[in-house]
Amino acid sequence: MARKPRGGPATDPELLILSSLAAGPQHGYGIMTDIREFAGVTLGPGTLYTAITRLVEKQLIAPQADSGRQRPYKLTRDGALALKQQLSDMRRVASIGLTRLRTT
Amino acid sequence: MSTRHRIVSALVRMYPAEWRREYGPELTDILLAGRLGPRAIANVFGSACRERLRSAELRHLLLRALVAFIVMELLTGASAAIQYEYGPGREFGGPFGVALFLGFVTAPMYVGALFGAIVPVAVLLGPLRRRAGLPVAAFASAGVGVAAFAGVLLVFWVIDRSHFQTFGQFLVTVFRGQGTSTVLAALIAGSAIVVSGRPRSRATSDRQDEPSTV
Repeated sequence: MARKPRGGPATDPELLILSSLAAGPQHGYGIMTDIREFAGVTLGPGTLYTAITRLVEKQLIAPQADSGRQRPYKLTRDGALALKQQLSDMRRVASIGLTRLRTT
Repeated sequence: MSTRHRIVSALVRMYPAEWRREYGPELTDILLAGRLGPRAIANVFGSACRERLRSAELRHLLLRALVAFIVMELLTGASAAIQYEYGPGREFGGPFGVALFLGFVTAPMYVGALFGAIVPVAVLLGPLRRRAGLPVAAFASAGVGVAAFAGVLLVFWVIDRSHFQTFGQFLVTVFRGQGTSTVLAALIAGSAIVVSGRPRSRATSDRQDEPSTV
């Protein structure tokens, strides 16, 4: 599993990559740039490829064949389901946490 | 090739060959395109270490080392048992028990010899290393082996030096008899381990890792 940077689940490299690929296939550099823009998180190249390796192994993303040196990666069906599940869980936890904060 | 290309190439080469075949060219291009500061280098270094620890390459090397250790342990124990006619391990009963006992007593030294013996072969094969595709890990093991072997010899010398007039005499005694045959066996076994561990398509992966000119 890729090492998670400090900052909570919203900075988990695997979750960020899955979220980035939800917009469509992208290659490594594109994923890195996109994550920087939408999450404000800069993934190091090593962290990025460690996370990509794990996601490919888990079959949550897949490289598109014969695309030269920079292969675009796309979200698989399992990847989309996993992302949806994780985001729903996060939303539920966030919602409960915010509600409890309001009542205290 | 510029310094930047050399650094990137060296960084990518830290990953296992199997990994490089799959992701090497992409990572190379990203490293060449982005800022290559100490933070990025440290990040890639850490990632490469993690991939090395997970790689089948390392697991296979450790497995081969373990098998070699057990075989060498039994061989050295057996040769010691024959030489001393079951001597100090007699109470363990039977040649196998004695072999096991004596083997474990002398194993550290011969494990050192096992990898230490690879060094002359590695030096001789040095110019052919790329062509033969011998893994760098084997050379690192050899270095560690030599250090371990020298360390164990030194410990034996400190313990037993009252029996010898000179260090040379001690070395001759150590290597005479079972030592010589074991080191010879270690040389063969060690070389077999190194050669059997070479990646199959290293040459192809090396070409792929070369930075693109675009």
